[in-house]
Amino acid sequence: MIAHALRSRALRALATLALACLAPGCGRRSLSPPRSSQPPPLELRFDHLRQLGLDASVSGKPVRVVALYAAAPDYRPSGSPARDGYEGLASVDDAARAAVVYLRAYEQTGDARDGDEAQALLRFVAAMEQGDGEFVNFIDARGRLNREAPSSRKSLSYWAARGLWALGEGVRVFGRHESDRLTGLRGALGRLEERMAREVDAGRLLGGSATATSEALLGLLALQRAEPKATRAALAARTAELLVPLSAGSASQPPWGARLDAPGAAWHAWGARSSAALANAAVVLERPDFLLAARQEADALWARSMLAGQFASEVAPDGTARWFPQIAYGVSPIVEGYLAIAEGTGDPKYAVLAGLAGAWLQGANPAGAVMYDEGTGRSFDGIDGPSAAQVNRNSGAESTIEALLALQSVTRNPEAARYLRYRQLGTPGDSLAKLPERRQFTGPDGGRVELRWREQALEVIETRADSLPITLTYWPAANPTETRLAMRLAAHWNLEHPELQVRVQPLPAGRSSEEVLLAAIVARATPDVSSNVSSALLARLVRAGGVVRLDDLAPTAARLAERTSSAMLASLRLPDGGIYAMPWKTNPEMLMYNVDLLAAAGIAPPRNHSQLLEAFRRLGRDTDGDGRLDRWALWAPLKTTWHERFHDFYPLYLASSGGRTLISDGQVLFDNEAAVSAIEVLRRGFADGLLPRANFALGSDPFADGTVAMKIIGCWFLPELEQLKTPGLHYDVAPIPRSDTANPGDSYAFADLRSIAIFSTTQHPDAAARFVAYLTSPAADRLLIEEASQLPYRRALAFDPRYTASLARWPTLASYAAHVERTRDLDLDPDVVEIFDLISEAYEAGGIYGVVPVRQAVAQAAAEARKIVDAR
Amino acid sequence: MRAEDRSGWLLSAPYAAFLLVFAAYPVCFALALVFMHWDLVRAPSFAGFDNVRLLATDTRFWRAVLNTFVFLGIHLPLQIATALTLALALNRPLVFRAFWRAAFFLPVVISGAVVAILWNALYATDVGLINGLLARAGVAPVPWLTDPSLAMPAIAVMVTWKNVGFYVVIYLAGLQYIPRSCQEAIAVEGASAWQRLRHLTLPLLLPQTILVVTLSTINGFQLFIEPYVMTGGGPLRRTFSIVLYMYTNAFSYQKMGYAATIGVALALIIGLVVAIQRRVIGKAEVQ
Repeated sequence: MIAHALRSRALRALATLALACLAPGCGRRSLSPPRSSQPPPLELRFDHLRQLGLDASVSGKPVRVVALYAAAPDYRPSGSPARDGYEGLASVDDAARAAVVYLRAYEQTGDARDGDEAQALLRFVAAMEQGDGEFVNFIDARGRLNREAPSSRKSLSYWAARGLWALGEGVRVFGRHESDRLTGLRGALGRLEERMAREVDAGRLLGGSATATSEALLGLLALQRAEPKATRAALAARTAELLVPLSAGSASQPPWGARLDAPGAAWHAWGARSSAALANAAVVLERPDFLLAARQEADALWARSMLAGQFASEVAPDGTARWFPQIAYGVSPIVEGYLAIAEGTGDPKYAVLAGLAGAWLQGANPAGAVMYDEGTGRSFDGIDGPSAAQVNRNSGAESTIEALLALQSVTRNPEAARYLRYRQLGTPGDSLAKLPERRQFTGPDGGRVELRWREQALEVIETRADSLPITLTYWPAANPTETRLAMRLAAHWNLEHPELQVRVQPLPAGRSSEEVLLAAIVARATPDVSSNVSSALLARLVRAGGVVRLDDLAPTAARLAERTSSAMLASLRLPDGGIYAMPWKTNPEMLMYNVDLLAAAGIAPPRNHSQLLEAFRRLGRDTDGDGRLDRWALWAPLKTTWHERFHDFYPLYLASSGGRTLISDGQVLFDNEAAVSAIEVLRRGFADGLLPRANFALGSDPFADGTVAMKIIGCWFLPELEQLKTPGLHYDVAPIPRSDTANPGDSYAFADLRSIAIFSTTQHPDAAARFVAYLTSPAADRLLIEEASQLPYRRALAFDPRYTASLARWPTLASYAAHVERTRDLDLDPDVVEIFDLISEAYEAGGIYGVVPVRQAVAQAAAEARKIVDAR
Repeated sequence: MRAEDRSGWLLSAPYAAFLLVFAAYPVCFALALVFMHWDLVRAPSFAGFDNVRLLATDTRFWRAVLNTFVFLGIHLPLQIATALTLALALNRPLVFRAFWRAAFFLPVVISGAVVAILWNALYATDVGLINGLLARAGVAPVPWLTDPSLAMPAIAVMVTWKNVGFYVVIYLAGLQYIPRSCQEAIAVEGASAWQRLRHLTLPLLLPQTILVVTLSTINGFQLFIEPYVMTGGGPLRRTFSIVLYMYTNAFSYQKMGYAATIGVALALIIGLVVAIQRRVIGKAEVQ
């Protein structure tokens, strides 16, 4: 009895203790992300622009045009009114710029509607070319050309210049992957380029206008980005050289660097794109002198407008300003000009000024009126005086297009986007000659920006609502290269942001960063920012509320828009549609091969599995004559740890799966021919003794010393290979071989993506978002490429001249870069590691050891994966 | 409470606190987790007997149990034989005896991960030292860690090498206690060296053997770092030990409840096996 009583008491005590244990151990609630004090990012809508779109027929060709006007309150599309001489219903002027808007949107979102609309508008532009590179501007409702009106006559004027801008952008956006969309446009473009060359060679501005010439130059530079040619570069340089001497006055003398159409002419805000064009030319043509020229107007005249707190509509040569009407077409060139100069100089001051200038559209104007309506995408036609009653609430094509052009640029720049909702304080100045010494702007979070005029230059000083300095903790990966990179970036940031310091602490030691971060989450010891978050961990982090959503924060949303396309983000969205980690760097897995060994064997890099098997046979050799192979075609790792499959099964699978990954939306996707053929090709290699069934010694690499001729690897390996390789080893990379039946156009590489996350434990989500935007800026990306031989997850990386020199730093890196947009990563699924382990088992049993038929092994793995999915 | 009692409680309190925090709490925590689903990052949910049912039908778990017994089947006899042989050798007059004793003990104090990395290189098929030596003798390279039938024996040999120094010390201590008079008496009786070993030394070393068997068994069941570093559990899961499977569930799959269930099952298996061993060897001791 006593023993029984003791046992019962002991059990009760044990049970009580066990339950009590749970409380401190794991009874915590999930984290809740901190709230941002900033408003959400501005949303761009094209609804109104679409509403202005009309079908038309020009010379029998179906095209799309944009109606010129839309009067309040019903905003029906309409043509030119009597006061303008019934010019017509639509113009090249507007259609061309609308095409640029749609092309930019298409580039980012991949939305076919935008691509189709841009293509149809470009067709209209080309149809208005008259066979000699000159253009007519207007058509009427029946598609008849207006050849009489001065604003429409056949000429090489504004409309031709805008046509060149649009066609150049069309080639840049469509040229790489969808050149068929350019069918029928190339002829007009070629003639226009030739005609422009004659005009420029004669030393004449297009249409006698700095504006028209600048817009044509923008088109020429877009063409040069897409299809570089020495003759085109020379033409662009000569065009820019025509613009440089147009600047009049100086920083202290009116009209303060303004670029005028002719000596003695007044400067007009509308279309003042020469600074943007020159700054772009400086980058594309690598001519820093053009950047200096671009700053002449921006640093003097525009700086004075910023201090005045409003933009002059017109400035006479003696500096007298006419303030109204203020229109989007007068603001947009300044916004884009500042951004182009920011890109050229790398000075974030210009991005801040672009954001503050763009705030005109959100109410930072003399009328205090919101000029761009987020709900409808309308932009009002202008402000005729300093009160809300003097806002022209019509919403024509030009205002709508120009507002969208400005906002597209600002919302893609993290430094600029933060200031879009700032307002200027104090009364606007009424003279550009007599200026206040400072002008303050304030944001919705209470933050302030002060512009000060000091020694003939504008200073930008920012103060936060709370003046306490912030320190962020940043965990980069612990490897020496990435730690060094992080230290350099943080040091640069700390120098420029004394109010927001960053402390770098490499990820604490552990088997993998996933386990370290997980342990940190459990202990509530996560940093503010970490840059080594894998997709394998992300789904769990999000489920636990452990990370902050990034497309809701202005700086990171802007960086996402600037850096990626919708297609690149599609597979990185969580079920709620959110992006919770900034896709930072990628190492697309490709087939690295020894050029000399393949040449000696008389084979080219294998493109499909048949060729791969042939390579297995041709590249296996017995060099010491002992009857056993000691040189092989490929080394496929034998270990079954889940991430080993990144170097064999998974890249081979993605090359043939048509973009399908392993699991998506709870559906198991890999029970298919692509998975079977990926394992089968290796099984045949192992079964025939053509692949080494061996682990090579640690510290050596069989590819670097020529033991194997091929290896599936990402570009992170390049520095290591350069150190390890035997002298004289020549290597190159090729896409991963696909199955014989797979469509070559449907091949994807494994991304091996690493992302940057902001953890919910941070007290400063907005500050952290700014830092993350900085870590993924073009300058930081260049450093990533040069220091770590790894690639930013960036749109059109291989074709972007900003990265050409950096990519050339490492052999074959440019080839890797060409695959950045054709990648798939791990699924954002909480059980992806376990599913990879199942596949690893199938690969081992079916592929390496052949103890189970491959198809059966894949089917078993898929069945078990379904059980895992069903159990949750 | 008497002053004597108070002093007693006071003196035992630090250790009791240590025991509660670092032994009782984890044990109770693990027991509670058996009935929970918990992925570390979210609050746990009640699982009833789900984890236990899963364990009973989980072929991977039972494969791990089998692997661990295979390991023990190779490791235990090898460990005892090697330790005893070395102890007998080191107990004799020997040049540099202290050096040899220290040398055999050295692997015990080296980190398991370091030893595993070292042996990984020794076992490497292409350029490993062992295959290099075999090649000189004209033997083809042996895939030590990539052949499903050789991987676990290879690991068992390595673990034996690492731990043998510790058990040598135990045997050496036992050998010191065998009375010289007994050894002399049996030698005078004309017993051969083998007979002296069989009928005197081994019976008198039985307590040490029991200790060696018990400790080796407990350590052997906890086989983890070697397969973790060297094989990742392969080939064909032949080196997936119980602890490696527990670790994988806990920290790769974040299935803490199931991992705790494996841990509790492991504790029960160890208890059962050690109890059987003690009963079997204990009988021999009585005889």
